[in-house]
Amino acid sequence: MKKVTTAALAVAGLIGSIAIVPSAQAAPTEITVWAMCSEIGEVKAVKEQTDAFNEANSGSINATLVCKADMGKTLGATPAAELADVFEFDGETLAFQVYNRKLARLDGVVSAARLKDQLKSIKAQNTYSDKHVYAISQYEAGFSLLGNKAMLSAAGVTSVPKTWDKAWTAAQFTDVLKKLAAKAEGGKALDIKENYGIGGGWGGFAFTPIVASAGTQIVGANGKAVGALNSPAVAKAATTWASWKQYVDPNADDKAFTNKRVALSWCGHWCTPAYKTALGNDLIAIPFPDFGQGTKSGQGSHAWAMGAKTTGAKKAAAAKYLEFITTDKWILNTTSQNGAVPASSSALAKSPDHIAGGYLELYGKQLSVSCGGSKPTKACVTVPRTVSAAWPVINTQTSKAFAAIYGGANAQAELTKAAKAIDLDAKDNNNYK
Amino acid sequence: MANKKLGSDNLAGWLFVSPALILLTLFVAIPFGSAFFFSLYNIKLNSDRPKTWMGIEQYRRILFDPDLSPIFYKSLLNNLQFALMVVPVQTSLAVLLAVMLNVKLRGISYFRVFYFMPVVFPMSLVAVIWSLLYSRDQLGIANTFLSKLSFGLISPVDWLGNPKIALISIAILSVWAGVGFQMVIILAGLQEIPSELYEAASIDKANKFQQFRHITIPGLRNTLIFVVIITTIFSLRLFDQVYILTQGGPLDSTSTVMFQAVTSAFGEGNVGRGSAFTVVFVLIIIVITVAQRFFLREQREVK
Repeated sequence: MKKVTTAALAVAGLIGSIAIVPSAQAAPTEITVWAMCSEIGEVKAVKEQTDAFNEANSGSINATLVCKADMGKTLGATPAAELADVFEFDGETLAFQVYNRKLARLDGVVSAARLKDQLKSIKAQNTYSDKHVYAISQYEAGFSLLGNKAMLSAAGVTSVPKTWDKAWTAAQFTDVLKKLAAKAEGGKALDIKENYGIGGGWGGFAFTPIVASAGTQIVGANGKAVGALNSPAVAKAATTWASWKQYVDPNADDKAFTNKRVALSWCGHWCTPAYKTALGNDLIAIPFPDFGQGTKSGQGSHAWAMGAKTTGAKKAAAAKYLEFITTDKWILNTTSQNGAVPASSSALAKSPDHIAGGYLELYGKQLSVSCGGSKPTKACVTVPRTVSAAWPVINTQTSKAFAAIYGGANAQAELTKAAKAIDLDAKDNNNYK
Repeated sequence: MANKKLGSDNLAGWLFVSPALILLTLFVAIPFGSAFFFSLYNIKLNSDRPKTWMGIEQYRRILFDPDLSPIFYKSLLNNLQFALMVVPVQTSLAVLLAVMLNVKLRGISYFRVFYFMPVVFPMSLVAVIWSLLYSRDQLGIANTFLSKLSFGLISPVDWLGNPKIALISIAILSVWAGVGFQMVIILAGLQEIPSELYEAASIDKANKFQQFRHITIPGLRNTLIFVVIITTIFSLRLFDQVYILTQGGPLDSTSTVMFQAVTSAFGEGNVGRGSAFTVVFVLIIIVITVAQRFFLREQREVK
């Protein structure tokens, strides 16, 4: 009896100890993901993709999503060692972030095929001057005038350009605004998102295409803004633009276009979901007016990067996350909710709104003739924001200049002030070498 | 002869003062010293890049450079204009409200709460709401109100886009948001004034206005001095409303020194320049405060 009991106890103890010993599986790799959460559609999309990623990698990787209200300020105020493993940021600041050693190289870490499939304009945005890739994008910006077809024909505007080569000239556009304002109840024709605050950074993205349309880059080939940004052609174009203020709805409630107070809106892809819901088939995309050297538009949008100090298992997990979200499925999940242009050629071909016949076909067509980093000509449309670590200063100064010109200041004087400040900053920082 | 050094008889005094001294050192002296240090270099915000020496070049640019100094002087002028508008108006309004609310009616505390509520809201929230009020088209609430009041005679005003009135518009909203704070302090001061003085005055056939002039105001002297000084300091810190509503425009008519400092440091990443702004500004504020204290000496004698 004693023998059996002892043996039974021994076996029970053995089984018990095996059960108590922790499983040989390691704990899942924890990575943090910071996303830019400003548009509702984008917030939803990033949550969906993170949940799906965690499910697909359950047990091995766990990604924690944190929404940041102002990613620019967050990145500016966080040292590299404390950055998230993966974060979304405004691609226009890529050179600035790399210069401040905050981003990790992605070539060699993220799948080469995925990087190759990105659109040409996005590859240009995400590659630093050292020829390495520091970010990967889900979408590219779509930026043009958005119009209300019914209101335009009711006001007697007959020739509405559908392709970029037929864009209205600035003079023709003034006439269009006059006609629309005469018919509109409040006497306004255009919404330029004044409520975003032109001087707070919106001006630097929304209205710098006017500089290109006048025939020059912000910083000339000689590396100086004086002589480029403040050339007389740009001053003239900016003055014309400011003269349209009388037709602009201040848009304090951000509903000028959706409530049909105005027939035209100067806004990008992020406006299209709400606009489509409000206007349905009346929503059309129209190229920006031509100030001399052809219509010009902006390019470059949000991008995803890896923190510079992320290493080891976290780095591999972060790379997996970036590859996951840039598959066609997840790119299209985001772009279907924010109207942006898919950043990979394979996804773009599958997006009904952006291919031939879709209401946002203009976006893709404009991007396909990007001006790149060279002097703008009549044959190219989208212009990247200056790829330089000086971009935050350029953005602040051009925004300030446009805001002042909109408020009635002399265009030549304001542009010269901005150009001088940009050149001085470059001089202080040794041209950001 | 009292021994001023640390001895057993004034050890207690030093111990009592030490928390305040420590906090002042940590949160005032050290940041100010750091700001002065940063202002001597060209530093990019949170960058690994080494800082480069600039000496007093940042100060020269802010104070003397023909291209860059105008914005500093304009911002300083705006700050002073704003303080000159807000301090008298807000203090007078606060005194008026406090006197009106210093009655023993049932339910008076509800009114006190309502007048104090704007103080509780963050200024950025107040600014966003007022952007709807100040919208320059006829849909703006202020414009609609004026239009209805004048039967359509007054056309919509560009509250925030007209360089002549943008600062005044911001002053109005600042007074609305801050008057409750001063009101509460003055209310406390009013309740310190002995009611026998009022009884004696009414026996002497003094009317309400005479009582106000000869009892209330002198009785509030110390409270008013305190309120004026802190309102001046708070008004010189103007930033939130400008950042949200006008971004310094139109034509720099609402630019303030703090706005320039923050946009230089955090918008452009130029920590050196932002620090130089703040150093110069703190010195100016110290001068203003010392001058105020000199002219508005509090009464210490017991009457």
